[in-house]
Amino acid sequence: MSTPQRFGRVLIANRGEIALRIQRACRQLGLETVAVYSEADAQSRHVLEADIALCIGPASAARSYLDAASIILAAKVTGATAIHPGYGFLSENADFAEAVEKAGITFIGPTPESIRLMGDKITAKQTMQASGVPCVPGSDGPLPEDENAILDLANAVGFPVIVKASGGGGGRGMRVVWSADELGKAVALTRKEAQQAFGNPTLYLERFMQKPRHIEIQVLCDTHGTALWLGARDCSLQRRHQKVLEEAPPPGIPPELIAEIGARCAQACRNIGYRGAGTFEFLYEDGIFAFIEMNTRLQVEHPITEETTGIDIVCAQIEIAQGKPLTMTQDAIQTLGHAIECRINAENPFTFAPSPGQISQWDLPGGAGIRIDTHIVAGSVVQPYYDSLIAKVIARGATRQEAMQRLKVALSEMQVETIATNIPLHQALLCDPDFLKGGVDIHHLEHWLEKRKNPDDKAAVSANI
Amino acid sequence: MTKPLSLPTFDSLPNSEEIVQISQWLNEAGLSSLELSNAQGTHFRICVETAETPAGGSEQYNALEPSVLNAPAETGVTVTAPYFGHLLLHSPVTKEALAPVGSSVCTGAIVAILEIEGVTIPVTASDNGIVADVLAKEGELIGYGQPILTLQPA
Repeated sequence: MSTPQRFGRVLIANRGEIALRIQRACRQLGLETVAVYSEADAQSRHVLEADIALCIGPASAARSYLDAASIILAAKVTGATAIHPGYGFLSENADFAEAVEKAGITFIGPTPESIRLMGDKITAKQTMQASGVPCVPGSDGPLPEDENAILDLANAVGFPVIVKASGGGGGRGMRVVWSADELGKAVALTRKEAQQAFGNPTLYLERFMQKPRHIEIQVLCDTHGTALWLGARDCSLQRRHQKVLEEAPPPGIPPELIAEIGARCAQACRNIGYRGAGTFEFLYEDGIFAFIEMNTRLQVEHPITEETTGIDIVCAQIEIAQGKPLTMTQDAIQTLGHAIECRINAENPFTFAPSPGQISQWDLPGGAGIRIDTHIVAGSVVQPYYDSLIAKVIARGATRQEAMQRLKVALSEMQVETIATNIPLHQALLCDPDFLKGGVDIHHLEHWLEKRKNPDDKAAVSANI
Repeated sequence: MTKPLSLPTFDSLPNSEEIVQISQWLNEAGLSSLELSNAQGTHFRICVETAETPAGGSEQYNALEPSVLNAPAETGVTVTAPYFGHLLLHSPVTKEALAPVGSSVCTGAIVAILEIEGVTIPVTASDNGIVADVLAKEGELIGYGQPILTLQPA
C-alpha cells in the first residue's frame, strides 16, 4: 500500500474486447485509463468509458493501432505514464517496447531484449534448449556424411523422422522418412534437391510429429526473481493456424508431466530474466513435449487460465510493471476444475467469410460458471477493418463434463441478430464424439470441417437425399 | 479460391475491367463488399449486390463512390484535424486569431495549429470561404478528424 506507484494512468494501445478487459483491470487497481482509437472505433465501449479518449487516426491500422510514434505521442499528450499493448498489433514489437521505455513510459510487458530473443525462432529454440526446455528431438546440427552415423542419429531420435534442408523453408526441401530402410535413399535425394534448390546441401533431421496436440504453458514473472507457471492450456482446435476453442487443463495429460514442463518453463524465464506474462507453446505427442515458440504477451485465451487458477493475469501484469513482487507462491497455484473458451467471430459458420455490420440483437447468456469477455453491446457495429472476434464465451465447471454442459446451454441462450457468427460451429463441435473424448490433434478441426456438410450447399444436400 | 489476388495499387484506381474482375472474385467468395484503404486515408469500396440468383446467373455489381471523409456540410465545408494535439486558434508569434468567425480564408491557408510535445502542425483550409463557426476551443486536446471550424462559400 505504501510503495509509491510508478504510474497512475495507463494508455491502452489496443481495441475491442481486450481493450475493455485491460480497462477493467486498471480500474480495479485504481488506475486511470487512456483509450486511443481509430475513427472506426469512436463508438466502441472502452472508448466511451475511458477516463480520456483520443482519436489518433483513420480506420487503417497502419495509421492508428500500429502507429508506434503516434501512440507514444498520445501517451505524452494525455499524461499516461504506462502503455499496455494487449495482444496483436504492437504487442510483440521489440522496437516499440524500446521506444516506449526510451520515452520514459513504462511498457507493461517484457523487456525489448526478451521480445527480440523470442521473436527469432532459432535463438528462441537455442535459448530454450540451453535452459532445459524440451524441443523437437533431432540431430541438433548438420547431418554427417556417413550413412551409418545418420542411421544412428535417426534411431536415437526415433522414427518417423523428417529430413530437412538447412536452407529450405515454406514446406520445400523436406522429406518424411518412416523407417530405417528408406533413410539412405531419402537423405541422398533430399541432399541433391537441397543443393539444386538452395545451393546448400546441408541437412538436419527431426522427429516427425504426425498428430501433435497444441499445448501451452502460461507463465508470470516479476522483477524480483519470481517466475511462476500457471498450468497448461490445450489449443489444438485450430483452423488455418487460428485457434477456435481452447480448454484448461489439457484433457488426458498427466498433471505430473505438465508440472515438470511448467517448472522448466519457469526456470527458463529466470535464466533469461523474463518479465511479465508469457506463454510457451509446445507440440505434444506420445508423451513428448516439443517447444515451438514463446509468445511474449498476453494471449486471447488467458481467461481459461484465470478461471482455473483464480489469478487475474492482466492485474498481475500491471502490478509487475509497477515493480511489485508477486505475492503468490508456486505451491499455492492449483488448477481447479476445468474451463473452456469459445471464440465467437462475426463470420459465416460454414464459409468463414467475415460478416461485419450492425448488431441489432445481442442477448448474452449467464448463470453459474459463465464468463463473457466482449466489447459489443446491442447496436454495435462490427468493423470490417480488424479481426472478427466479437466475444469470448468461457465456461468453468468442477469437471470437463460440467464445463461443457454449461457451455452448451450458454451458446443456446446467446442470440445475435443480423450478422452471422460462428456459434453454430461451436455448438456442432461440442457434439463431436472425438472432441468429447478429449485430446484431438491440431489437424482434427480441418479434417472435421472437410467432412461436414453445409446445409446451405444445395448440391451437397441433394446428393445426400 | 486460390487464385492470386493481385490488387491494384492506389496510385491509379482500378479500371472498369478490374472492377468487374474483383466483383466476380467477391461473388465467388460469397463476399458482399471489398474496401481498400491506405495510410493516406484514401478509400475505395466495391459492393456486390448479393444476387440470390442461382450459381451461373449474371453477377451484378455496383461501384460505389469512394467514401469522402470530410463530407461537405449542407451549407459549407468543415475543416477537421489532420492529427491530434492541443488546438491553437491564435498565431503563437503575433497572438492574433488565425481565422476568427467572419474572416475570409483561401484554400491552403493556415486556420489553426495543433501543438503536440513542442511540435506544431498546421491545419489548413480545404476550400475558399468565410469562417462561419469555430467548433473547438483554444487549448483543447482534439483528436484526429475532429471538426475545428466550418467555412461558408465566399
